[in-house]
Amino acid sequence: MGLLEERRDLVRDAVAFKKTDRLPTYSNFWTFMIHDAGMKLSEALYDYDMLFEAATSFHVKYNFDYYTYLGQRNPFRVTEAVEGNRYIINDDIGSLSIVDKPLMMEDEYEQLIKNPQGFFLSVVIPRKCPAMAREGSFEAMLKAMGELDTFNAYVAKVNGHFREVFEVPNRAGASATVPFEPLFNYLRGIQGISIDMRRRPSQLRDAIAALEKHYNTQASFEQIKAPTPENQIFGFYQTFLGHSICNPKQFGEFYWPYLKKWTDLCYENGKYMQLHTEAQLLTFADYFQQIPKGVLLSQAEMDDPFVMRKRLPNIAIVGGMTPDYLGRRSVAECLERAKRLTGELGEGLVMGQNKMISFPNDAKPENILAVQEYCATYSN
Amino acid sequence: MAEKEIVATDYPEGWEKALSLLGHIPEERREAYLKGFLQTIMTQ
Repeated sequence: MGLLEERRDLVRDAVAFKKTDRLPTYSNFWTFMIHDAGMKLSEALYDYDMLFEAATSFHVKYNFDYYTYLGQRNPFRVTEAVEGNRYIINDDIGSLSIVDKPLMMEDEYEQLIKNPQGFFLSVVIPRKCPAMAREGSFEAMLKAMGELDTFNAYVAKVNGHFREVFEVPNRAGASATVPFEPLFNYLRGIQGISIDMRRRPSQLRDAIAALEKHYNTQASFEQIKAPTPENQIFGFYQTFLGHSICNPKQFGEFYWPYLKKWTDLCYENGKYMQLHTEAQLLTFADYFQQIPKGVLLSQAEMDDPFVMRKRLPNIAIVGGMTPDYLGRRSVAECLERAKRLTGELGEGLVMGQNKMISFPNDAKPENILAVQEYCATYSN
Repeated sequence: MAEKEIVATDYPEGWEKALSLLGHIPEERREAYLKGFLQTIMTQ
């Protein structure tokens, strides 16, 4: 068995609550790796050679078992070709922030419901990407498509390098669009969708039905049944963000039907699923308790992992190390935290970071290295 | 009066013209490629 298979099976065994020879580790490091390489965001995010160097040097230095980010986000060269970049880079503090401006107005639900693709093209994209809606639009579009091809080539190159040279498995190929997410993330935004859930519940449900059809969300159920490639850990990977503004009843309507089906299918087909989330999950513990033990690895961003384990003993946890520890505490304190996590959680833990590590001060290299070394020698 | 020039966000005319410009992509993949591109510029 090679290193790639060893890493893959370690993670799968942790999800299945089996004992492992060492503790698998997950990198939830994002733009931090650019800072760690001594680069500026305003340069590296536009230069794929620099991004490749940042990602590969990060792995050589810290050696995580698998990664969420290798530079394959924020394709600024693509969006800027059609004047659609909504991000603001601040090199002085190393931040990347987004302008949270809804792309769909509250009185436009019927247009979305009637024809999502037509609505996106004729209403949403002109607001987001003005160059697509005026003279010269097709030239701008072809330029952006060329940039997208270049970006996709970078993603293929860096993923291939990690697989073949570093023997790091892919996380998962399959995921889906939960219809509530685009409404939350960019169409109506946090404020808009919060109001719509109260004022326009019927239209919201119709929009969700239309988006489910548009994104073919149901196809994800068939994807899970397909064989998982040998170089891949999970049969399915999903991100939840909009659940953060839902109450349990709304979660039960907008998220749970998908999550239940995905995890049931993983259980029936011997697959594993990772859930990347922000905010809290324990608000929805009554749902998560119904998931079969040993199929789901879930983030604990705002939830205390020790409480989460007690209330959800069926769900494996990825996380545990926080920016407070990694960025502001000593090596000794980080090691105490790592020991407590392994001691109290036992099996069912993949050591990682509870949230997306992005800022320069989110972690100190010596703390990351100490926790990585501890995990490499830990056996439960 | 001159006719208004079609732009990429006219639907369905802009969609059809955009597809016709993707000659370098196999015909059976053009629609998925255009949909993926539009999704990228809309969401990123």
